[in-house]
Amino acid sequence: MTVKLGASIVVLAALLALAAPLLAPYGPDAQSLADRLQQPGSAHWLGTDELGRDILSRLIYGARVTLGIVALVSVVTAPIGLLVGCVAGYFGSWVEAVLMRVTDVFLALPRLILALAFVAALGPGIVNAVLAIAIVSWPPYARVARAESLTLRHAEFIDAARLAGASGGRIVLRHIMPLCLPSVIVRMSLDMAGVILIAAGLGFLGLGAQPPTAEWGAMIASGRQYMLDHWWVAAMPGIAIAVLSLAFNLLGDGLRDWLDPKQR
Amino acid sequence: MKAASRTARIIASAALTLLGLLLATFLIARVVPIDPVIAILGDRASASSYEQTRKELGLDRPLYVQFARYVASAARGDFGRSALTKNPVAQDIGRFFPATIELATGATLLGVLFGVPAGIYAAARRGRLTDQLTRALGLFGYSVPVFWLGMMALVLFYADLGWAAGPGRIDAALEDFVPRVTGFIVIDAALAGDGDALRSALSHLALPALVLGYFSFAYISRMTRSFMLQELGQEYIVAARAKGLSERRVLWVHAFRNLRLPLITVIALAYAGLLEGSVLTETVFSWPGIGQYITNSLLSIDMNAVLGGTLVIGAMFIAVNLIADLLYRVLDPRAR
Amino acid sequence: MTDLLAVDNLSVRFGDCAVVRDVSLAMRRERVGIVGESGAGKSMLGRAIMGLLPSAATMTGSVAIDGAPFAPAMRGGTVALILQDPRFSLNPAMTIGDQIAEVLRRHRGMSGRAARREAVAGLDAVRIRDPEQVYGKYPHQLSGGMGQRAMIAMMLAPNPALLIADEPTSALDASVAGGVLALLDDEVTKRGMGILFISHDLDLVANFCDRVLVMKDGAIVEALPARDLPNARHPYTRQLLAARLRLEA
Repeated sequence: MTVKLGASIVVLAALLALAAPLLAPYGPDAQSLADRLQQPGSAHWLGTDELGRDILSRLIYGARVTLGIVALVSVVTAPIGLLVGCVAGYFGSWVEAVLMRVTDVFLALPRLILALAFVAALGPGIVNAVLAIAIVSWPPYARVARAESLTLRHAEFIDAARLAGASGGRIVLRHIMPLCLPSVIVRMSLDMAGVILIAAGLGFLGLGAQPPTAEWGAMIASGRQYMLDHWWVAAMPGIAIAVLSLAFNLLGDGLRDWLDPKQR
Repeated sequence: MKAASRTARIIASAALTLLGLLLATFLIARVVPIDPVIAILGDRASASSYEQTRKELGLDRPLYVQFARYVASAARGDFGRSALTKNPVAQDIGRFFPATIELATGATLLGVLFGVPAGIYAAARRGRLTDQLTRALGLFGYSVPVFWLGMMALVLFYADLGWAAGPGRIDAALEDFVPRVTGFIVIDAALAGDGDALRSALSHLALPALVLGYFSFAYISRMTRSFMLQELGQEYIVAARAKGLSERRVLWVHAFRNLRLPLITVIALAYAGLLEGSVLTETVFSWPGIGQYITNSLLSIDMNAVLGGTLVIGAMFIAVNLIADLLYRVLDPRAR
Repeated sequence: MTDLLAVDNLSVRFGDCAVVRDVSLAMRRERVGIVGESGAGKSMLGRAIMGLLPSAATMTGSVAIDGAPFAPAMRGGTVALILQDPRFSLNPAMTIGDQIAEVLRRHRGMSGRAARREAVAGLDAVRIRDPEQVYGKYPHQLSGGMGQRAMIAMMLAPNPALLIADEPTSALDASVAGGVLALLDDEVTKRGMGILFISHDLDLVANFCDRVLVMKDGAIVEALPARDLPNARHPYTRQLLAARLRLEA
């Protein structure tokens, strides 16, 4: 049940993001200084910000940025984590020892702060943010992949492939990695909520998407000056982040329980 | 002998991680698209002075030598100079350090105080209202961005209701009257016997600590519940109940004793998480800690300060985990 | 005279799945064995009698001890339970001594030093060497045999009228099991307790008990005095008899 709820929210958000130009009542950059800082009402369902831009529209466009970051980070971290983990698990001995050492060191480091320093050095922007988040997020997947591939290492069909002359690299790529994918995917859905929060944090500090691009974290930051009397400017983006993050949490929890009902 | 070697391995592991942290900050510093020589000399320096400065900064040596020198200076506490304040970064950080610790400690204490019992009761009354409520509270807690929660809390409890004190650690008027002994204003005010200052400090600490405490509560209660459920499924619990012991004793003496070790790790992780999150939350509450220092330095791209702060927080992060690991080893009855 | 234990139409289900079906039994202060293969519902029956089922289970039927309907307050003092493997049934984070002492405090009203003295005496009575030292040890530091003896000391300390023993020697080496069984034998006789001995080992049960109840798939298929076992009539019982290893010619 939680899986369905979480999944539907995520899908809804994705649809909103994709269809943004069709669904958003106003353009995300459409300023109207006469209408600035308006309360939520019939013309602007969620109110307007300090430049008179419609918050609802900016939230919808902002979904593109957030989901885009989530998608890009997944696309980068999953293969790296899978590769490192499967190579380590399959080849064993010193290869495994070295790779796992490196992974463990990465795992023990504080993610948010290193991502922050990294983006600060490279310069703010979505690409750098994605890169930074990806660099600190891949280790858990390597762990999961390695655990899976350890069990597969001695499977009969792997022996068969070896006898047929397949090289180690080929075996890892063709046979082992695809089989480890499901557990990595479950792990990812659990982590996605965290990625959203890190991305929001970077945005809040001005290190993510740059203005005038609508990004939820940045919207909270710019709403901060006005929050005492115009709470909605900062409140709405936060609610959006919370809802999406919640959805991924539910999805991840549900997936994990579905695959291992004993563990609750 | 085995005990000593396992302890040694834990320490070695932490040292390796620290080295990894240093490598990370070193490489990040290298990645900055600003030429450090030009940053010092300006872009109209002659070729010879450029070369000279380059040599002085050690930039002509191979990378691993540069790294070695970097590690050596970090070990000495030399993180370079802040481009903004012109002070040694280490000095700046030393000033702001206690505030971060004070807030993190206060918040974690609250998180533990409420989170552990909540997790235990949620597990004991699994599926019932207590459980549903605790889980819902927890789920909300780690889905919201904590800095946003802080902002909303300020709007509600400070601006609207007037229950909580405003930004900063203490009323500006009282600030200079508390002699700095430990750097922890709450302690220093208590030591000085200054009731007004103590009250002011506590009321300023209250809201940030509660907000961050809620954040910790979410994590701690979830983990406690999870561990507790595991313990309650064990045979020794059946045996304890069979002995006719009260349910309270079964939960708080039998099950809880087996929670202590995993809880140490959970609390350490919660604390470390708060240290890390200080970058986001201190700005919201105008809390003058390392987090705010880093955030302000970001605005002026003062990389020495940013990286110095990153190193310090990262080192504290590693230290907290190391202490937890060592405590675990010391307290585990199975390791005797 | 009322029965020590009277079980009436006891059923235990997990959702749709019944693990104990409509079981009725009555016993005095005698030795009754419950025998059957793994999964027959024997352990569940034992736990159901004491109301110690997991929360996912539902139970119907009634249990009466010495004529009174079972109440949780009877646990420990009137009815006791010995579990199979001391590695799991003793709390790994508490010393052996503490686990025995708390029973004494709870059921015999002893305090601090008296409880400690009595606990040490209890350990001595189950033939554990160096009881003073074992008092302060943790379960993982004891061998299987010692752990089980400690468990016996712990559960018998309040002098219960009925003891339910769930596979008490199944986790022990054959060499050690004999000693523990002899101990159990002694204690049951000495204290005049009734014992419900649950096991998958037919020979063991036949030697130890006066009566035997055979369980299959949650139901009791045959009940007979131990000495009549060779003449058992139910096909399942005959199957169990045939399946035992015979060392005689």
